[in-house]
Amino acid sequence: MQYVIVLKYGEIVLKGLNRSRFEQMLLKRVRLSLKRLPGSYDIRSAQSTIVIHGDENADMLLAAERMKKVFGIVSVCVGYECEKDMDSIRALVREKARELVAGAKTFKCVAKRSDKDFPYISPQICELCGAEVLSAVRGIKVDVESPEAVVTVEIRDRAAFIHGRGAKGAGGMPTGTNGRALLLLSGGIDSPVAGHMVAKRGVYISALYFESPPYTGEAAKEKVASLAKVIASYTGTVTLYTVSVTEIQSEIAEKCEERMFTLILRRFMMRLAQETARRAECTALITGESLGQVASQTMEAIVCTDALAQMPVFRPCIGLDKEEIIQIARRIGTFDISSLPYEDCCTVFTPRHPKLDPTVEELEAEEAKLDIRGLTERAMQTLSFIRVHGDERLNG
Amino acid sequence: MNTIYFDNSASAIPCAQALGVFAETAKIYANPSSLHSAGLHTRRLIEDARAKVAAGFRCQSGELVFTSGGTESNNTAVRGLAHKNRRAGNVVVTTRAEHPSVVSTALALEREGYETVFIASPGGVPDLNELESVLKSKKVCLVTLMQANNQNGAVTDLKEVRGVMDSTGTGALLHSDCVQSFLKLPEESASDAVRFCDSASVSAHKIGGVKGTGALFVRKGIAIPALMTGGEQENGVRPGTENVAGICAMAEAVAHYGAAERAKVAKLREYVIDSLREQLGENVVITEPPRHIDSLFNMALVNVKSEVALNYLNSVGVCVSSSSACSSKAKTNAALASMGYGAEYERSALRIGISPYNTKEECDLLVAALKGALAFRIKGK
Repeated sequence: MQYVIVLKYGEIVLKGLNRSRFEQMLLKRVRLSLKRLPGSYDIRSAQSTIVIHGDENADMLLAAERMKKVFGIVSVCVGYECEKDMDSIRALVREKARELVAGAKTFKCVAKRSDKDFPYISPQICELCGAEVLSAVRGIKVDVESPEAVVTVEIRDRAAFIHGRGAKGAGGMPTGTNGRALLLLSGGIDSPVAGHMVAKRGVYISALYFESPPYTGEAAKEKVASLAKVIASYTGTVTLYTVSVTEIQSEIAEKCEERMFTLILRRFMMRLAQETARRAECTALITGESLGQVASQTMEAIVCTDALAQMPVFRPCIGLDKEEIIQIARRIGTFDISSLPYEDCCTVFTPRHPKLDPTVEELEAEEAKLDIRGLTERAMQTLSFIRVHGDERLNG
Repeated sequence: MNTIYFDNSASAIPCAQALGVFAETAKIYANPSSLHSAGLHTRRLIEDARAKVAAGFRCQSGELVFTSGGTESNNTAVRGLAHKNRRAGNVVVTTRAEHPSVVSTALALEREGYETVFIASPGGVPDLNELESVLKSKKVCLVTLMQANNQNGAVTDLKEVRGVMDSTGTGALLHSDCVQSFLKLPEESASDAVRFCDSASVSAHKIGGVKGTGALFVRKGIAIPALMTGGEQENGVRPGTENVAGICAMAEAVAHYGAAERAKVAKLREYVIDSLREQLGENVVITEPPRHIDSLFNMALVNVKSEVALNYLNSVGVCVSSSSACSSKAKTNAALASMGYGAEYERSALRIGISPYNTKEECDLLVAALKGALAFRIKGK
């Protein structure tokens, strides 16, 4: 018997008149992430739930794994479908009871009756189905307070579904419902987390990596592409832009005061990122900054980089401790990649004693020694991009 | 862009004849353990290959076990000999300059109640006075010291090591990782490993063979326990169907790495080092241990970080490595750090590995590229 996938959506249900726009986008995202899987899938939505049926070639368990990465979905349940009559439901529960409780010693039954015409009310359904589980699984007991397993029976408009405890979905809003932003992606731990956090709110992400050959190499670039691939596994595709800052770094190192190297470079990055964002049709920037984490992320330093901002700069990690950021990085799968050791362009010219309380005026005075416009324009001439797909089979 | 390859100590340019043999023997599909003629023919190929590799090693055929490479050989020897000789003691003596397959294996043995003692290894050569005092004060089951250091090519005199061991009357066994020194030493010391050690490891892809093949010399009379179970191949030391093509290619590579190849490598090395000193002057520091193999040397470009030099060289098609390839993913190079060259040198260390198939023209391009990398000096870093 083929599995059925039941998806619940989260925040979208709170939307008012434009709810259907969000639903349509969510359905599109679900469709896209199943597109390359074997078999074909029938995707329907009703009553804040998406139900997916597959044909005989479909890999429903793999499909369910994919669904866990679709933003906008809060839970993913894999289960079975049957006719909406009590005998069929009980027979199915009996047949699948062992699978649904998966070795647990205690369970409870939950019934959801969205079809109010169904002749049995929820407590009755629970009682009848619970009895089936008790007779089918030797030694199992009922525990309504903290059961190890939950057997859910849903009576919906067209059919009944039974499934175990669902897996947590990615949450958030469907990708593409909240505009486009450009993520400043280094090889570190923070920026991919920042990208993921904003992407979760329905934002379509493009990414920008500053390289500095030969101070940074191919391995570092591949590392960044791997990080972009993780983000793309949630959002579909990430366009990864690369700009070389070698000339800018060399000029700063030659002409400016060492204590201000990093901040002057970051201000250049801000200029280059905004120009790239304009070309990529992104309307905001995202950075992985966390207040006070390093010298270039003090309040004063952020004031100095932000002074150049002509578009919103989202800094979702701003209030997170490193440990909290690492926790998210581990959960979304970027931590191990970020921990690879290759140089990134910020570490090459790091000053021994960076200035902690810079002012915009001081930085502008230092920058006056440089041909800002020329350097920025020449750096933009090095702009290149690759498309990184979340689906492995599309990369190559 | 043509690749100018000077990372031969990580993996060498293969010998054409060995590749030819590899392609031919890969077509032979019969299992060497099968009793039909096709199987027996394959078995003979392996035994012929064993005789050739044994000749290169200067040992008897029966003392040679084929493995998947240096790492497996070192694991088998270090674990196997420590277990076998547990009665003599629980201490394994080695240095931090050893390959990770030795250091990590020795440390892993600590979970089984063994103790690892690291003796100093300044410049990649173990301090034999310290070895002597450890042997006198502790119950040692195994001493494991590499014959040629994989970072700077420094050669350890195994005869001296054995002398120290004998003088103390220790019951310890001696293993040597000979992956870098195999076939690279002059005639008079070519048989040192098999004369003075109880076991020694070699690898095919460092001498012009293909990856996935190596060998372990185990002195006659020592029954070394296997790491794996499931077959009687290789005297039960290495179960699993033999890598026939890799083994035959290794034998061919051994046959083609002789005095002429060593002389060529020595000449190329001298040429590169002379050119570097002449053209880069004080901007280059070259490490030349008093006794060394010619096929590799370590150097630093002053104020150019290893990774930066590597990236630049890569961008102009030149391959070298910043450290032993097996540890290049680690942030610091513990082996190099243990040799005492200082943090500044370590940050800029590069390893140049030379093959007999490199040319003088390639040496010129290597030197020019290294000179070009000087443009990326960062002062005081």
